[in-house]
Amino acid sequence: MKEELEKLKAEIKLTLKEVKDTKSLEECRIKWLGKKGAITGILKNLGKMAPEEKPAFGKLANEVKEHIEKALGEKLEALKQEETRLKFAEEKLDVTLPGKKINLGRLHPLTTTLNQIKEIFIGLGFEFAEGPEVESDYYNFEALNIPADHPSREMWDSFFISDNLLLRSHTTPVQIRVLEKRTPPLRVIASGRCYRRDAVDATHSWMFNQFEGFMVDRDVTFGGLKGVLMAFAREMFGQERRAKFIPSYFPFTEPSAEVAIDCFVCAGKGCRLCKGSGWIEILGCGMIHPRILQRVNYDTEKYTGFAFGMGPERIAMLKYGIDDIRLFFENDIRFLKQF
Amino acid sequence: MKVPLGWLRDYIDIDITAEELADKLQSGGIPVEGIENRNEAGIKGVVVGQIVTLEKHPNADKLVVADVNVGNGKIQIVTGAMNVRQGDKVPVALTGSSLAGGVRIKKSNLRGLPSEGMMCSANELDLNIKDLPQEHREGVMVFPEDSPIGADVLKLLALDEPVLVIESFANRPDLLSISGIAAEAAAVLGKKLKKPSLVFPETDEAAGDIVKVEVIDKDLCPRYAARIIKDMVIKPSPLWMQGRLQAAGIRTISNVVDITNYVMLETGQPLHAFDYDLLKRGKIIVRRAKEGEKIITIDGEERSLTSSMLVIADAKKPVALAGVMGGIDTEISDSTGRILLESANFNGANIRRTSQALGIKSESSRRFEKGLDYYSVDIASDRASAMMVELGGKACKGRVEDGVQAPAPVNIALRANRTNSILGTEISVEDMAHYLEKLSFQVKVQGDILNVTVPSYRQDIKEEIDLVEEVARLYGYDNIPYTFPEGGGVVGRTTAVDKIESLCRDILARAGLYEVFTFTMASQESFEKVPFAAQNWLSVKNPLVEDQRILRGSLLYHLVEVASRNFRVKNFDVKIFELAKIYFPAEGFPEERRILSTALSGAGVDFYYAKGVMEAFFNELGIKYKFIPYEYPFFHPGQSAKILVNNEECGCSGRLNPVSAEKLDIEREIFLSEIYLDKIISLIPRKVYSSIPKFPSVERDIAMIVDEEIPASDIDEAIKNAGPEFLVKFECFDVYKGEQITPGKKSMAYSLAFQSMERTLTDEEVNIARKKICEALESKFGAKIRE
Repeated sequence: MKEELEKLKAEIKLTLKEVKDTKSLEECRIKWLGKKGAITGILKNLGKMAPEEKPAFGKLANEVKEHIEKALGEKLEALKQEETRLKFAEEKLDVTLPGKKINLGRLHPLTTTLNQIKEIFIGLGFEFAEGPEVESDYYNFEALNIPADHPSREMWDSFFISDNLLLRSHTTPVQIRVLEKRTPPLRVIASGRCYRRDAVDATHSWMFNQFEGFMVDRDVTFGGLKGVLMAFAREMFGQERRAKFIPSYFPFTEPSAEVAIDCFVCAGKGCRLCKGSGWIEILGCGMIHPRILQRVNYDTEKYTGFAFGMGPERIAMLKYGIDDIRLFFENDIRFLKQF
Repeated sequence: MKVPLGWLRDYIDIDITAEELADKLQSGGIPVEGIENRNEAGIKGVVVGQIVTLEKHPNADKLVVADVNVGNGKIQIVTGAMNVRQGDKVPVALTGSSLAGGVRIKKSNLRGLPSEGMMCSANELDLNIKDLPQEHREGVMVFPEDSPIGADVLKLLALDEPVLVIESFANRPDLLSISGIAAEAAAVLGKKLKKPSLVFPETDEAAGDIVKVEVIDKDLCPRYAARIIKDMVIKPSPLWMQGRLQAAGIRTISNVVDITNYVMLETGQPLHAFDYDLLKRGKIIVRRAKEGEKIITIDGEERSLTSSMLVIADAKKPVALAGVMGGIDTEISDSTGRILLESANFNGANIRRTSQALGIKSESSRRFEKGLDYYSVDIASDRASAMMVELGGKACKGRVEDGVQAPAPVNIALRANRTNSILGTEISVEDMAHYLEKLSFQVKVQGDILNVTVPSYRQDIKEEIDLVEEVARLYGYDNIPYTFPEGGGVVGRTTAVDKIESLCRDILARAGLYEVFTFTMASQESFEKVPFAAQNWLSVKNPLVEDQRILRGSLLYHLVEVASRNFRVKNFDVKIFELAKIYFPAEGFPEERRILSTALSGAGVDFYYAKGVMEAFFNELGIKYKFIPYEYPFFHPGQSAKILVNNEECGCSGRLNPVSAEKLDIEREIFLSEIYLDKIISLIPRKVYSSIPKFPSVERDIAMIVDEEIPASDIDEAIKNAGPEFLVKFECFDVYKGEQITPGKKSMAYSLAFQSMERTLTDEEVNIARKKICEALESKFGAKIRE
């Protein structure tokens, strides 16, 4: 009996060496440990044994059984590892191959820029308003101190639809529309498409966008205008920006100014972007001309206001380093995908 | 306006560099665009020389040998120039000088004779050819006889001076003059303004005996002044004057015309010189033109006039378009004996209308249309006469004038307090007075009030706020402190519609589309290629080009154009959208509607892809929609759908009609959709959470064979009606035609999902529900259910 167990042990060692997969291993387990297996067979003989031999033999039999179980377990583990290894090898990929194309959509850089400007001013307490793109001569010109035959009309060479209607040449008419309908305090912004009969080149387009804002209240001052625009300029172009207010002329504001910031590329030293001047003009502004407020029945002794306007195309061109305004409207995918 | 620095120096002492001056003017409110250097070529060493002798070269037919007096001696020059004669004064580049194009002049030997310099052409001096009189454009320049021998040509022609380029404001005609800019410079630099003398000798003969001036339409011509100058020999003007005019970008013509231009640039007051002897009966009549009256202007064009245009006429016919352009018949020529010098004031708006109607823009009309000073009429008239007398003319006594009384000076009360409260400053009354006085305003202070008298040339100053600006810019905008307006409880926000627009853009971007911006207008022809429904197109009366004529009623054409343009550069994967306005004629203001359009093309894109994008869009907004077959002319008739929301047309979707595609040279399929945003904005529901089911869903399929013609939407409808309320979802996931299916039939497979919020459904009740649906399909469509 003892010899049989020892023989079995030796056989197991040899057999397991040859086992190559989990299926054969299972067969071995049944052969050795199953109900009809070798150990069971051997233990059946236990009854025939002398009582004094029984404990020693039983112990040995158990040892052999444990040995088999352990050997089987170890083998199973080894086989599983091998199988996993083979599977992994099979599933190996060239991770340097390109990924699947995921097409993300995106907003146009002008929308992104407009949103950015809008958010800054909303943060400063301004509310958004809209007006029509086809405007009357009154709102586009007359109400803004630009009477017919005034030489300043030349600043806005417009597309006319009839004698009285035209495609708005700026968003400033929104100012009048809001002033007519509402009462102070007013902090309003507006934006949208505008049209001028300009010959198209790298910096001119006959259709373009404008962003406009104004404030009317008691005690609105030129100093306040400077404060608001400085806050905008820093938020948009960097907190370290400096600004310069240069006298200018618009029929609808007085005093009027152009705002230039120190170049954010060269910090004012002079580079290609600022054409060597160190300064970049970003917007026009001024105190709303009292005659405009009077025309819409505001008491100008009580209320004053400021207004400003800028070109989102110009702002986007500066921000992204775009050198041709036409790119915005050509919509080449290779352009659009960069923003 | 180009301002040669030397010319400005006639009016004001400048002891800073051109750059410093530009900076100071700029921050004081004068927009300096830049500084021109007229000697970028680095020319030097060119003097005026006079040809003393001129002989043929003994060894060459095409060369001549000249002895030239260059002031400090004579030099010999061998030249090929054939336009020079003995006695001519010419620019001479001496040995060691530099010319345009980096040419250096050295002593040389030409066919055996030494040459010690070169006679120069305009090109070699880098002059702007178009500003030169014809005879100076080619060959060696021949200078006027009075040019000083040995003088530095660079200095004479003002080529060594920087030129300030100053932008003009529509309200500041005074800045279109050297004297006006000098007045500003004097204010910002704190210098005194120098004024040229207007004193000159007159003859005993009175101009009034020679010419009669009658202004009939005084509303359009408040003032007209004529002077008569005799004995003026018409010839080129002196070099210094030519130099300044050329620096200012004005073509030099002859002494008389040059003087009128010179004085215009200097004073801002345009002048005109007539050949007096060509005026009929020595008469000047200023009147409105007769309807259809004609005049040939000095540019050679015949102009047909209307009764709203003002002309200067003699006894018979118009001789000039007032303030715009002179007539050719009375132009100054070499044979002119007596000159009638016009200096007048015209109504700005009228000049502007005339110049626009006739399409003539002149230096004169540019100034008049902005409204000029009544008083500059005599200043300019006298200044020009003085210059003509200096050049040998004889001025007859007096100005012959007609017009209205001089306007009273403008007086404005400026409140110091008000000024400070607008600017947010604490400028003292004294400082304000000081600033205004620097700008030549007369100021009387009375407590807080400054009583200001405006100089007549400041036509832009009409009311208090105009003076506030003057104070502000002299104080310096940059010195006004930064403050921030009080809040006042105003909350920043945008509109509901704007938020929805943003949401729509975001949804489509999330669906993988690129946003585009296209032009609002196009040509009629373009819209005929992709015809949108609107019949009455709004159009622009004055487009620059045809592409800017029709206001669109659909974005489809433009999106197709974007796709096509991308195809041409091999961007074949085009998925784009645009949110914009479309326009329709209406009473009063045209109707503007918001529209959202998409165009899709590329691998894997078909009708159902495009529809999928639309479905995602509507689902995301929470709007129920329906696609029904509808043939739009711009879509493929078999792949064209109307989108209904609440049974109203809210959009369309389909494949670009291959006929349109062919017209546009497009070989790829493009799938287009449009959504009329205004119609659905009010339908977007508020988002409300619905609880996530706790009980499992049970899935079943139905496969059937039905007639090919039956649209899926009908079957959907039948399933919905026959299904129980716990039928939560169903969808057609396969359609098959072809082998094993009888022709005229199609196989369709639906997946159904049943789910209750209250309990777990039993197999039995689900099977019963499915059976009911199958029966409905059988009875309604004669469907053969495949189990």
